[in-house]
Amino acid sequence: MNTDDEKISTAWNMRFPPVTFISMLVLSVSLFVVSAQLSSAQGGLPADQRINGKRVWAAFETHREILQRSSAVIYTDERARVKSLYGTVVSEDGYILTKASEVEGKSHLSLRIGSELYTEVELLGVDNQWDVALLKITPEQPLTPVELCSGDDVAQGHWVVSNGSTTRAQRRVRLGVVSAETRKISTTKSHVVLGVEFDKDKETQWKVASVSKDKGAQKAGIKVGDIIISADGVKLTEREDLIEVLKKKQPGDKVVIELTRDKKKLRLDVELSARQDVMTRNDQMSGGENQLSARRSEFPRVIDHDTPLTKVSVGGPLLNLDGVCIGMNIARASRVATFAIPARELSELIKRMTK
Amino acid sequence: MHQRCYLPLLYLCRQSWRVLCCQFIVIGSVLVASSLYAGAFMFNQQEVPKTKADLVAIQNALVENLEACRMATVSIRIGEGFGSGVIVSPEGLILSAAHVTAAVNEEMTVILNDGTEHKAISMGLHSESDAAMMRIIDEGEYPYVEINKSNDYRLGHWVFALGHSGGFDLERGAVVRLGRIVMENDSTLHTDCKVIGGDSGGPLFDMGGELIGIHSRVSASLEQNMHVPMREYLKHWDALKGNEFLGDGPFAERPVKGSGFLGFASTDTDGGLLIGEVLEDGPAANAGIETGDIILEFEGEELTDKKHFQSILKEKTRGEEVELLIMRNGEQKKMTVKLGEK
Repeated sequence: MNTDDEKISTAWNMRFPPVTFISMLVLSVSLFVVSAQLSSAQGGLPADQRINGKRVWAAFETHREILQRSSAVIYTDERARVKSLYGTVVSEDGYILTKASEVEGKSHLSLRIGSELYTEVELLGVDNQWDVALLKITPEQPLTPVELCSGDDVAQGHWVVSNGSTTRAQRRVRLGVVSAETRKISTTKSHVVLGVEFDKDKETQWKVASVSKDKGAQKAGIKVGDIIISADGVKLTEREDLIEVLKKKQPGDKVVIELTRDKKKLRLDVELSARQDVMTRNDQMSGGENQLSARRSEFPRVIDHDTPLTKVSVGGPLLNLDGVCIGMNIARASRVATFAIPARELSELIKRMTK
Repeated sequence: MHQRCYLPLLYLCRQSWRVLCCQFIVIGSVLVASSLYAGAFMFNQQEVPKTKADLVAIQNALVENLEACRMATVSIRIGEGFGSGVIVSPEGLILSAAHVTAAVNEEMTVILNDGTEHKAISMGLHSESDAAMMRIIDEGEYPYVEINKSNDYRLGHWVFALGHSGGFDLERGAVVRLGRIVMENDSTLHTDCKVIGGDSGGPLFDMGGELIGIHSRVSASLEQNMHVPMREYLKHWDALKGNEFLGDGPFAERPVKGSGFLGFASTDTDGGLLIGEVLEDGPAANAGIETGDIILEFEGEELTDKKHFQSILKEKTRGEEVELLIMRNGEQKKMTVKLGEK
């Protein structure tokens, strides 16, 4: 062998992509982000004519009036100054729904409907599956609840109207369209991990490709090349099988892993550790944790729309062009997506929670 | 189509009243007809929608075209990465972004809205404007959209974006976002249709459902989303179809000469190059080259020695196809090898 050996060795790098190759892939998944100054300086369509510009909002005045009456501004600070999120008025006698994970555990809870401030707010219950909290106030005059849609899901491409920003006296609208199929949102991840990475290949998907340092798997003695057969006695075939087992666990819990190594079967107790969530590039492009709802997955069914809300503008009703409530905004999910609980599920939830 | 209306010129001199009347009727009916035609997109003539009817008109136009446009919008998988694209011919010609396909003549996977996967190959790209073309290899009849070739989109026009945001999701499908053209310059359209990673290469449509742009990049602001206008594709159409790599970045890096690689060891021998170890799964192995083969000719040139071989290879780039004439068991054989990346 002579100088061509060098070529042979560089070729192996193709199997374990060198850094340059990886960075190329990163570009192919993500859009280029360019500097913001560049664009705003050059004019273009006046801001008030853009899809969420003031003059476009003006065409939605009737919707604004509905939000004025039937949405609640919710405060969690002592002096009711800083809006925490919105709520949806669902009964004349003072039941209001909102996003549970944003109000639970807060020592102060007050809300405003129209221009009326209510400081006596009771948190009656929480539905964890939907991340919904039921609030109760005692109004002197009957409230105007939203008119819940009783028909089918609203189709893609239809206008939807949500709460935008607000002043003490005035609610504002924010616009979008239904952008994707109404569907279940489940994470593809568990919140605890073994501390291994599996082979990317579907055929060998249970083969350990790498073992993280100082995590449970390494401590238990799992090695690269091991093939995992079962977790807590559950035979693993699909990727989801392992996620299902891990979803029921907490960090520090143990899971019994059965594996084969050199044709021998082994059983190991692996301690689970918490997943260190890294913000993905898409999360960062979406404004990161300042903009996104902390709880934005694991919903049985949601309407997916493109209205640019933030984590403090969910909780309010989602209206169609007729002003009918087709859902309740429950999470800001990304730069391109806000999720809402569909009206059908919302009615069931109201019945169940106010019983 | 709808925006185009040709008005007949009025020519009134020395004409009888009767002719004049006839002319008025003709002109009048043309005017009425053209205004009715344009009426479907009256919202594009307004600064902002004013009434519920205006809003309904926008919604109707979107809903009417959405399904066909979604069916033609594809997700593109390259290794672990995802981008989007749109089919523009029944045979499966696809437009996408240069920073998605990244190179000419590379294999990638296209996923249709219903989840079916097809092998595809990248064609030409324009690395300065971010335009790229590719095609599905499998024969078939694919759902496709029409390109707006008349370049008649203007600032303020309502538009919609489609794409497989963040990668393919069968339950979700392609995602639509509505917005307006908020800025326009030579090689870029800006809209307030929000796009994100994975949408790159996806389509931007006018409200008639014709393709006007391809998603390229965003700023931190939700209202600045940038798209390559169709005229960039039309201007370079033949070069893109001819697998050319155009321009010098920044959206794709031109493969450098000498980056091509075959994947075998060799030694000089009488009349050629004797092949030693062949890298498993490497370009040469995949083309069928075996240890013991003797290379007689490389790119049509008779090889004198190994230096000669390397001097030819030095001029080649990854992805390029090269021709070898080899001798195996006393028989000559022509072989084509697609160079891998060094």
